[in-house]
Amino acid sequence: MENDPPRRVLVVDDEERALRLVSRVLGGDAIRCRTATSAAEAVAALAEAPEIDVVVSDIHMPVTGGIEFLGEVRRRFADRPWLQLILITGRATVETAVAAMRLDASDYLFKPLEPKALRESVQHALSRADSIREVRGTRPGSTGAAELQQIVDTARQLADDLRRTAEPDSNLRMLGLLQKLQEARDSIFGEAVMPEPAWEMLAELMGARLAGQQLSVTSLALSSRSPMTTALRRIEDLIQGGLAERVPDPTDRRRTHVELTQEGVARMRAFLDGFARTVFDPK
Amino acid sequence: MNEIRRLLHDVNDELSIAVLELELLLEQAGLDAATSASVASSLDACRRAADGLRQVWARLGPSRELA
Repeated sequence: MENDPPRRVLVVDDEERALRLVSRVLGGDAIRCRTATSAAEAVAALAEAPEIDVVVSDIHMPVTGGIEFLGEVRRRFADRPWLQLILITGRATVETAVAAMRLDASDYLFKPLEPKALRESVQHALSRADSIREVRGTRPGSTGAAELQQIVDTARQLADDLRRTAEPDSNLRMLGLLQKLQEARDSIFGEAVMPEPAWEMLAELMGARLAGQQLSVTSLALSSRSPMTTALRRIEDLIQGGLAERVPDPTDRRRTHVELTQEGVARMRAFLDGFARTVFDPK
Repeated sequence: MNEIRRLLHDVNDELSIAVLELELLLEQAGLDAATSASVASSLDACRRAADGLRQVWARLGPSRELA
């Protein structure tokens, strides 16, 4: 909206040139970047600016590393569930991926950073922050009835979305609706309701297939929103169950993709078609 | 080995800065065709260097590297 105030993003990196460049990439009328060269400076900035919605932090920093810093952010600002974290690292490791999951990071980006990917990631994080703020915005002094009203409002919004989705035969749209239901559930129940990693990954695999994209093991595991070890076990379960299979990347032999098998696709289609029928013709 | 990894991180950080600078330069309006081609070629070189760096990292381990 034209008159909306600029959104606040805090960028944290010990390297000042990186701060300057990331601010330039993100900066514009809609986003105001604040920067910090250390964890201590960033925590102080967050303490004085509750309007910050997104923290973009390098993991590899001296004194206090990015993971430690972001853990501190989650602890100290637990009353700001809308706060979104984006981690930047030079290299993927199991430890950092698991840490990202535990911190409920919104994204995990690799260096060298690409401006387009960074902008998209921040926009996505801002949308997530918006959704959570919307649901919890009236929280001060709220009663159980007020919370129930929020759930009812969210359900109404979803019902409107369903009505707008007129074609029940579109698997991709049904996946989108399922994702919205999940986001609504997450924003209302938070961590009290655990993700279902095998299901999350099946939906992700189906989405990737319908979009003509491929998913690496890492991307798939991250999409499960579960600890990495759990995610990898569930991928094995899907493979053992004949629903998914590993496919080597012909351009990079170190990388392996995961795809749905024909059986997996058939079952997902059956599920989504059934879901569409239930939604549009609930007799 | 840790010193080597730290150095690799530093090199990658520098490459990341170069890529961002070049990308921002490419986004600017008004670059002539020859300059654009030159910047794009430099970007390509940076990305190849980053790819080489990832291969060095992969050879260094640890074995718990992600797929």
